[in-house]
Amino acid sequence: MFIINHGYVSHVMKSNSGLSDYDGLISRRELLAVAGASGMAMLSGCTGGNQSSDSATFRNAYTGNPVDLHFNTSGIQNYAWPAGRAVFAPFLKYSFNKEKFLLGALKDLQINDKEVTLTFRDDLTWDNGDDWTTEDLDVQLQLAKKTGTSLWGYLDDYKIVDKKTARLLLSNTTNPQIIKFELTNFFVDTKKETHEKFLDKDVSEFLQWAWEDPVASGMFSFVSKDKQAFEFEPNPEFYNADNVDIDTYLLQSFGGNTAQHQALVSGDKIDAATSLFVPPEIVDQFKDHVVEVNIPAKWGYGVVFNHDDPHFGKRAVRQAVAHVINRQAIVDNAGPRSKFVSQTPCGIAPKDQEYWLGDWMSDFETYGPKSSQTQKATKLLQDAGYSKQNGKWQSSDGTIGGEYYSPAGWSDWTTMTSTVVDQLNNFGFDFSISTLPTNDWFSHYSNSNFTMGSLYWLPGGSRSTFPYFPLRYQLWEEEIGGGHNYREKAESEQTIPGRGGGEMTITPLEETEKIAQQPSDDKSRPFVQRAAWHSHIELPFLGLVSKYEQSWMTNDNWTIPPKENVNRRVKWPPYWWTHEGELQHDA
Amino acid sequence: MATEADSTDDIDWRSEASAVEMSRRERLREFGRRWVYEPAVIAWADMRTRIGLLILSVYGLMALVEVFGLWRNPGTNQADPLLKPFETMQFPLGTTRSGVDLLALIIDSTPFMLLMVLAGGVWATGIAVLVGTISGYKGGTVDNAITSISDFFMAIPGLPLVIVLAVALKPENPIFLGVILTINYWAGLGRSIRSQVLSIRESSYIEAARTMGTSTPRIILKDVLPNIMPYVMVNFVLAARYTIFAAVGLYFLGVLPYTGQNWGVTLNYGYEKGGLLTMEAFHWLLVPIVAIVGLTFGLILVSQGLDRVFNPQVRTRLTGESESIEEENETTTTGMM
Repeated sequence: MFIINHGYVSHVMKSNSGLSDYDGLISRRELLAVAGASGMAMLSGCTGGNQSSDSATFRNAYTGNPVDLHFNTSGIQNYAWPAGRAVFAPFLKYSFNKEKFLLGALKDLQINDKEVTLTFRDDLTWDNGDDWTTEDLDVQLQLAKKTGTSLWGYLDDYKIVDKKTARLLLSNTTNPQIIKFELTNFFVDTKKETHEKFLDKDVSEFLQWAWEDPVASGMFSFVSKDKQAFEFEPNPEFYNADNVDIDTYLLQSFGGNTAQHQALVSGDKIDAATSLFVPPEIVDQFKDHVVEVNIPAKWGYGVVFNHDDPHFGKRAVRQAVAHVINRQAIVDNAGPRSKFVSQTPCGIAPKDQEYWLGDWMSDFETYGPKSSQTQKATKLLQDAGYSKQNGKWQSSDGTIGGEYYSPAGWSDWTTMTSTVVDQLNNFGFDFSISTLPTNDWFSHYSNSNFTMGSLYWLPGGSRSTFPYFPLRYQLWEEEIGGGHNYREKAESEQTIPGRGGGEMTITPLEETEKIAQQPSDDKSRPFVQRAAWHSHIELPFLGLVSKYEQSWMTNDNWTIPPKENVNRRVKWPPYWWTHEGELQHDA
Repeated sequence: MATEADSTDDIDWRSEASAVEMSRRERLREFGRRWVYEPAVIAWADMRTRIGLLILSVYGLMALVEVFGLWRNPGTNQADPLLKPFETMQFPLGTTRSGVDLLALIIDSTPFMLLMVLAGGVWATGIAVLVGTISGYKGGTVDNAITSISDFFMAIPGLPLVIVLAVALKPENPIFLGVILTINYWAGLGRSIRSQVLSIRESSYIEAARTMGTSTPRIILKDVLPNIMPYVMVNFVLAARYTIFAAVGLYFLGVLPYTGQNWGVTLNYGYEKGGLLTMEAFHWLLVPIVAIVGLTFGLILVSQGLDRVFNPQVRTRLTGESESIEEENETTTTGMM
């Protein structure tokens, strides 16, 4: 939405409209003298004269109170990530539609065997005029090590080569994709002068530090914040400053999703909503100039099993669960517009399965993505020693079921949970849904206090594109501290039915780690295929659904890139499009 | 002696004497007349009570339907998604986005909501009446102690306290939840009741009862409580209403754990799935709102109607006893004087 300089104009208009009240105090001649020529020019504009202005304000919606938020990207709580993306330049980004990496602050990135060479742009500068140098990167990498950033899981050390070049020394041969995906999480957000002091302090002090007045390296400089919004202005020192056609960038605070829905329905209240789930019925209400940009989230609803449970510790029971659940019904109920099923639950993101599995894919058991295969499930349970009594599947260990946990407030998850539990109970399991505040929901899994429940089956983010991350996540699950009790099995040698008959012996964690240690995708593929095969037989997790992130832009006053453009589906459009000059004022 | 005999003939204030002479059947009949028939007649004479009871009986009926399993349980894909109310009589209130029967959702949680509301109302008003009457009637040290405790509870902000308790205790039992939601509601109400009792205790009939050596519990029960009952009943309803709103609000915010979709949760989902923004999902929002407002409205009407039951003037007039009793009272008072 394009806005002329309303602040001053409206002020003068207000003064004008109320002029008669002050006739006795100030004459029109005196007003002219006070307002001056420029003020009167604006006054003439609002009283019918032609007005032209290049001033453009871009309004992006966000749920959160800016007063409580800060710019320390490592801050445990209250880091304002959309605000951070306005002021910090990214190292590189990933294009989901073209499946390639796009350089930001980096001029070049070379990955050879055990070395990664990072070359930054010569014109990379802080908004206070200081040059960015590898001294800043030095502090950034030291702090990253201190905070346990995952990149350091692959590094032994690093070397500063010159003012704009550094070299990362890998501990093993590592697939270049992994390093690139790791680097997509990095921004030019650490300045030696402001961050150096934390090198000698306890890490918790750094994590709790609220950086309120950031020095910017990205498109915008921070101006102010209040309860309503963050305000930014263009950063003239930004290397792509010519691409930025926005005078004021507002990150406006909204009370929640529904408030953002309302703003988008009105069509003129906001210009973008970075990430917002919108049900299909509401999308139908949007005006034509509201454009949806779908970006694969590589994240989604799944089931986690407690592998120490007498029932769900059995592979046959887990497979029966997979057969019973009609995954398409989950999608239909919870959001057919933005969600889609996993073709086979094998620990790889749905859209990447074909690429990685290749000719193995047709041999994978699908467990019926669009149907409830109750006959197969019945046979599996009967073979495992279960029988149905009073409509419930039982064995000497009791009835299959328990409390099925779901997070409160995640409405689409509750819908998916209801669908899953209804299907399982109709088949003869005995589950009751327990919807808990998010912390409690999570702690049940961390404490292994569950039988089976809802949990995301992909770790999320662009890195989940690379199978190593989701496969390892399912085996190890660091976020719940391995509370699903599969770690011991993951480290043990297992014998499972092989592809095309026979048996396969595999140590799943070892096999998965090898994926990361290959120099190319082709070399990684055989390990991916074997690890995925194990995953879909053993089912450490059950992946059911994945989704698109929904990002909303408007094109009535702004340009947007065409659908096939490499910049179209990059996280996140309101930022990357500005970075690349795709988002231009078009009023 | 003659004076005593005359006086006894004229005024028989020893109620025990007449009670002894009544048979058990007569006593029962008297009890039924005084505590059931008369209040019912008086209450029923009021249009508000009739409508209120009618509304509450609908909820009672829904609770029975759920208890006896006379309507289907809510489940996904029971019907087409987002059917509108009365689009098909098989699903009279329509369905949600995942094809769940909205009437089944409402019925399913009715017993839970009624129990919770009742528990919240009884807890809040029960404690308030107890502390308010004792504090107001006894005065002195007892009053000081109770007032100090009430002040302490009144100083704690209600909603944050309830949220903290809800998060810490994770109440899933409806009765426990009702108590938690009104955990400090009694303090303010107790203080108001105390104020009323302070004025009532100065009444001549209370003084007379004290002079005659009637015990404190008996005075509170027989003379004080009936006078504050209209106020208590109205506040019982207010506490019940507070319980509903607090529960719905906290379920809406996702603070309370739950096992099924109750009215607050349904309201939240209806809201989040566009009930406010699109007519397609509007009924999803409307149905739980009607359920919540209906119950509250029914309770308020009944409480207003009950005001007449506890109002002695209205009660005596409607039962056709006002004149004789007034005459009798006058005679008695004069005689005593």
